[in-house]
Amino acid sequence: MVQQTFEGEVLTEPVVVEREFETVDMNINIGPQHPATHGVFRMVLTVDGEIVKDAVPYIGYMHRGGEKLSENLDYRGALGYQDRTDYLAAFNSEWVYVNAVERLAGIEVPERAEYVRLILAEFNRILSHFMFMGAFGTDVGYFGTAFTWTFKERERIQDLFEAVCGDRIMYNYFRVGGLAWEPHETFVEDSHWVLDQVEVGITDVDELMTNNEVFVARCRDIGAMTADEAIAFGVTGPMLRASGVPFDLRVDEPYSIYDRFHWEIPVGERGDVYDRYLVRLEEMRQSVTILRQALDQMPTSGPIEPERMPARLRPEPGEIYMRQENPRGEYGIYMVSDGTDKPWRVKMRSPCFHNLSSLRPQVLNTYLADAVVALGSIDIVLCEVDR
Amino acid sequence: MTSRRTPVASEEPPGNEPPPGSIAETYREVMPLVDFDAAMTKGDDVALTIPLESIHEVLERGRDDARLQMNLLRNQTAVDWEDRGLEIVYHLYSIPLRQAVTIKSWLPAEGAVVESVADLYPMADWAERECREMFGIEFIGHPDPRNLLLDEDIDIHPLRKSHPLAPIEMEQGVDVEFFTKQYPPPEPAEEEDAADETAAAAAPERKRVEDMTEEEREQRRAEQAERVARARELAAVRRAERLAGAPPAGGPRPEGAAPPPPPAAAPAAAPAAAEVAPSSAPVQDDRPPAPPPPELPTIPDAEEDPEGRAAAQAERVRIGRELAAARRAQLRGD
Repeated sequence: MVQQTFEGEVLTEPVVVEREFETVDMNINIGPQHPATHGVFRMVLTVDGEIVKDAVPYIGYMHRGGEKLSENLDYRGALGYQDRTDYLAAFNSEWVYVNAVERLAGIEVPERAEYVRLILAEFNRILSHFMFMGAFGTDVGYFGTAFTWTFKERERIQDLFEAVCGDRIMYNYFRVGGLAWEPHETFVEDSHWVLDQVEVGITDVDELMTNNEVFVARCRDIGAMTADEAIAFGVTGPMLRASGVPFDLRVDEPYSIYDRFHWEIPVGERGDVYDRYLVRLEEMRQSVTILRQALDQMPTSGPIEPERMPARLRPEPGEIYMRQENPRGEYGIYMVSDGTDKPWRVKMRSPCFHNLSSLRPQVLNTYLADAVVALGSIDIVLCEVDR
Repeated sequence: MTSRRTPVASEEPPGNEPPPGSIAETYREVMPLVDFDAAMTKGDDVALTIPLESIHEVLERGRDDARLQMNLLRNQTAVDWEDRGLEIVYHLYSIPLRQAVTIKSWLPAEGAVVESVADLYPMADWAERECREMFGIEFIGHPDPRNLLLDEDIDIHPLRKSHPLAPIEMEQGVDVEFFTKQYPPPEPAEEEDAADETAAAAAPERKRVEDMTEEEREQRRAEQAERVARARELAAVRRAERLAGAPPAGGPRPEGAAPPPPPAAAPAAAPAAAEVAPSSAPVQDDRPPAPPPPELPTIPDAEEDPEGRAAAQAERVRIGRELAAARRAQLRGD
C-alpha cells in the first residue's frame, strides 16, 4: 500500500496513530426550515459522536392564536379556523368543532348529514394516513417512490372531496346543524369507485414497504415506548395503540353513529416506529370497512340540516369538552358558553402537541438518523401543534 | 378559600346534579376529607370543583387509587372569568375503567399560583408551560417554566380577557378598522405620526434578542410593557363604552342601507401611491457606476503559442480578480 502526502513524500508503510481523544458534546440545530421536520419545527440536539444525548424541541413558529380568534367570533364564524389547524384532516377537525357547538346548543343533526360527515371524515383519515406513508417513506430513505404512489391515491380522495365541497384542502363544508349543501348526485357511486382504487393503493404500499428489509431495519425498535410511558405523556391515537393500548374514542367513548358499524382496532406490541406504521396501515383497511358499511346504510334522501335554526346561536351557559378520534389522536374542543353569541373560551386539544412532547424520551441515546425516523413516525402537523 | 363558591354555584341552572352512582361519589369515597362541588357538563361529564390547595393531592390519589385509575391527563387548560378570577381545568380519563372526569378549581385573578402536576403526568409539562404563558399562572415545582408557543422573552398573557385582540394589532400597524369597522377611525395626524414611528422603528436592522446587552433587553421589555399598557387602556375605554350601551360603530347595518364609506385613510393613501408609482417605475440604480472595463489580452491559439496562451489566460484571471475586488470595495463604500 502506497500513500502519498500532500508534500509529495511517498510513505511505504501505513502509519498507525494511537492517541486518546477527548471529545466534546456537540450541539446540532435542526430546523425550523428543514425537510425532515415536516414543517416549522426546530430541535436542538446534543450529540456525542452520533449518539443523541439531549434534545430540546422548540415550537410556536406557526402560532396564530386560533383560540383567541375563535373567542372573538361568533359560534359559526370560527368554523373556518378549524380547517387551518389540522390541514391534513380538516374534515375531522371541523366535525369536532360543530359537534361541540351542537351539543352545547342542543341541536339535533339529521341522520343523513351524520352519515355524510362520517364518510367524509373516514375518507380523510385514509388520506391523512396515505400522506403519512409517503412522508415517512421519505424519512427512512424511499425518496420518490412511496411519496408518488401515496400521492396518487391521495389525489383520488381529494378529487372526491372537490366534487363534494369544491375545495381540496380547506373544505369548510360542515355547518352547525348539518352540511353546507347536498353532496353531488353520484356521491355514493364515486365513493365506492374511490374505495376500490384506494384498496389497491393500500396493498401497493403494503407490498412496497412492509416486508422490505431496509425499511424494517430502519424502523424496528426505534423510538419504542411502553404503554405506561405513552399514557403518561398524553399520547393518543395510532401511537398509543402501537404501544399495545386499544384506546380508540370511536369505541371507548362512542360519538356520532359509530356504534352501528363493525370493525377492529389494530394494536401493536412493541410500541416502536414499525408498529406505528403497521397500526396506521391496518387502520386504513378498517376505515375502508367502515366506509363500505356506511355507504350501504346511508339514507338516499332526507334533510341535511334541521328544519329550524336560530339566526344567532346563543347557547345556555355551560361547558363541554368534545373529543373525537382524529387520524393523529384525540382532538378535543373545550368550549365554555356564557350565554352570549360568542364562546367565552375555546381550547383546542391538539393530539400532535402532546404526541410531540413525548419525542425527547424517544430519541435519547439513539443515533441521530434514528431521531429523524422517530420524529417522522409521530406524524406531526405543525399547524395543529401551534394552533 | 372563600372565592371558590362565589361565582358559579348561584348562577348555574338547577338540576345538573350528577346522578347517583356517578364518579363523583367514588371520588367522595376515596377522598372524604376533600370538599367537592359536583355538576354535570353539557357533554355529560362530571365536573368536580375542588379547593386550590388540594389539586395535587386529588390528582395523585385519583391516579393511584384502584377505584379511579385516572391514568390519562388528556387536557389541561384555564378559563379567565375576569372579576371572578381564573378557573383551572383538568380533563382526566381512565383507560382501564373507561370513565372521564373534569377537575376544576378557582384561582385569584392576579398572582395565581398552582402546584405543578408535571411530576405525576409528564404530559402536564408542556400543557402547564402553555397555560403559564397564556394566562400568567405560576406553576410551583414545574421543571422547565419557559415560554413554549410565544417568543422566549415576551411577557404577555394573550388569552387573558384583559388582553384585547384588536388594539394590540392596531399598535402593530394592522389596519383593524378596515376589517372590523368597530372603532372610530383615528385622527389622520396621529396616524401619520404612528406610520412615521413604525417606519423609523422598522428601518434599523432588528437585533436578535440573544445578541442584546442587558440594558437593551431591559429597554425592549419596557417598550413591550408600555405598548401592552397602552393597548389595555384603549381596551378598557372600549369596554366601558360597550358596557355603557353605546352602539358599536360598525354594528350590523340594516338591510338596504348604503355601505359605509371607506375609511378616511384609504382614499388619501391611494392618490399618494399613484403619484409615487410612476416616478419610481424605472428602476434607479443609485450605486456608483462601474469603471470602464480595461483592455484584456487576446488569447492566442493553443497550437501556435501554448505558453503565450497560458500567460494570457492567467493575465485575464488576474485582471478579473482585481476588478471584482475593486467593485466589492466600491459597493461597500470603502
